[in-house]
Amino acid sequence: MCRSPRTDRVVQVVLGGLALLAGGLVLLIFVFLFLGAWPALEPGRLPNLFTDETWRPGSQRDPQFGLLPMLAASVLVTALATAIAAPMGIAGAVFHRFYLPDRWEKANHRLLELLAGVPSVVFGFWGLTVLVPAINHLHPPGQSLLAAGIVLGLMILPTIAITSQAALRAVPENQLLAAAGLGLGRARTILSIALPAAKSGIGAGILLAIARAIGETMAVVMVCGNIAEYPSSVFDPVRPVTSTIALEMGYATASHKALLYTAGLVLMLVTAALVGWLSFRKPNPVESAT
Amino acid sequence: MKSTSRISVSGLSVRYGAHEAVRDVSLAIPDGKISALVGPSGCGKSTFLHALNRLTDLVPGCVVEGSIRLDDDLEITAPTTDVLALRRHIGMVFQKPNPFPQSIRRNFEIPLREHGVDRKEIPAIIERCLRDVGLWDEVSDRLDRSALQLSGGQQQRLCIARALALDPKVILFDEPCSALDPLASGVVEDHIAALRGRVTVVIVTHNLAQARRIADELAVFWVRDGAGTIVETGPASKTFESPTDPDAARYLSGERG
Repeated sequence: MCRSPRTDRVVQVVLGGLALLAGGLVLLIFVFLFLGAWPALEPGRLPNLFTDETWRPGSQRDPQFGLLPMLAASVLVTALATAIAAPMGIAGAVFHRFYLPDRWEKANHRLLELLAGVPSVVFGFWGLTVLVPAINHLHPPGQSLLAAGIVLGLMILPTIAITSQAALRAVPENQLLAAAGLGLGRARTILSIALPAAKSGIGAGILLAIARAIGETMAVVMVCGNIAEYPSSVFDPVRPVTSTIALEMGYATASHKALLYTAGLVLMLVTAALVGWLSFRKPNPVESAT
Repeated sequence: MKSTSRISVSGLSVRYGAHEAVRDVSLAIPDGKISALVGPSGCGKSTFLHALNRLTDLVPGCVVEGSIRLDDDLEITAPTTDVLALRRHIGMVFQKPNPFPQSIRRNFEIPLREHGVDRKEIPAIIERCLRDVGLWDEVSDRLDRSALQLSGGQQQRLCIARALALDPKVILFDEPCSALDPLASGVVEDHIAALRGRVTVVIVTHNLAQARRIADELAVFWVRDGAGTIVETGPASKTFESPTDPDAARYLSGERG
């Protein structure tokens, strides 16, 4: 290092520049969204987003700008997906950590990574051709909150399963040895020792999955039905924020466009809040065990 | 014809794959006494200890041959033996203190509930066992705080108390003081010595002075022909005074090891 201070300086500047660019990109996106949304954020316009009953921005006679049914759809779809994926992912991770031999666990890990890499449009395609007809058979129309929840659940399953496996693998060996030395059975060891110790890591995985789910667009837009109203059951069509942006950005102009920017900004803020929660969470919840 | 051995080991061999860690070891562990296992590193002491309550089962590829009998009637090595019940009778305290990262109370409740102890009896058991290791006065007002907030020596005493809570016949100690500072080590040692007469203690230690202070019985492990075995055994005082095996004699006198 002392021999070539020049090279060192160059490396430092290049690395620093790239690091700044990566971090700054997020800020730039925020600024970009904010500028695009500005016309809609002007005083007097904002309340419409939360008071209008539905979303009909292009109508000449009675334009409606209600964002809430779509935000509700985003939250409901994400919640349903998490409710499906979290138990499956955690149970699968426990099974592979404590019941399957190591080599099978490796094979399973590869498969999960592959699942994580399936393009979302493929999930949407499967949902549209297989899942939607099946749900339609059960209760028309098929394109629904349920279909979107299931497709999205399968998409975030690998995230939850992989992070849960890593968290369970990180449970210290001497804890498991202590459990064995006390004659604890496998089920008790999992429930009382391993899962509490891995709780923090599993929770982080779920939050990551939620952050991804709430922003997922392609697969959802194909199966959710795209009607911007509050659903009264899981069989009703819904229209999450992301679908709206994807469907309308192509032709939107003026105030309509600004509203879509606003919707994007809201989505971004929700994700940022989740990530913020993730990083400021207490690292070790066992310290406060009661 | 009642034997006073709590555990009788005969012809015990333990292999990890192709590596033979312990070969043809026989040892009688007397009831209510403190038996110390000493010897250089890698001579099979810990492996032998782990075989006594079948913790060797946890190591993939580990094969145990020979006989270990508890109270002359339970064959520990038999595949049909209920391992979880066995470990209730033969508890273990490890080298590194390993309380569960939960409250002190939960550290007792988890094993006690698992072995079917009535919830109402648990507070009394916790108090009795914590008193046994001199921890009650130090922690009685913070049973619901994390066990990880305790010092290393306190954690190790908690682990001893947790093992005692299951009312075991035998407690195995695997170098219980080697991760502690000398002061904490002394306290833990005193509490192990105090178990004499109540519980059968088997302790692996690298500390010969400690073995001299607390052991009733002594077994010296040594590597012979590539595998660990016992080269000297008997009452501790006699074995320390006049060992017959030359390797054991040099080791015990501090010349080697």
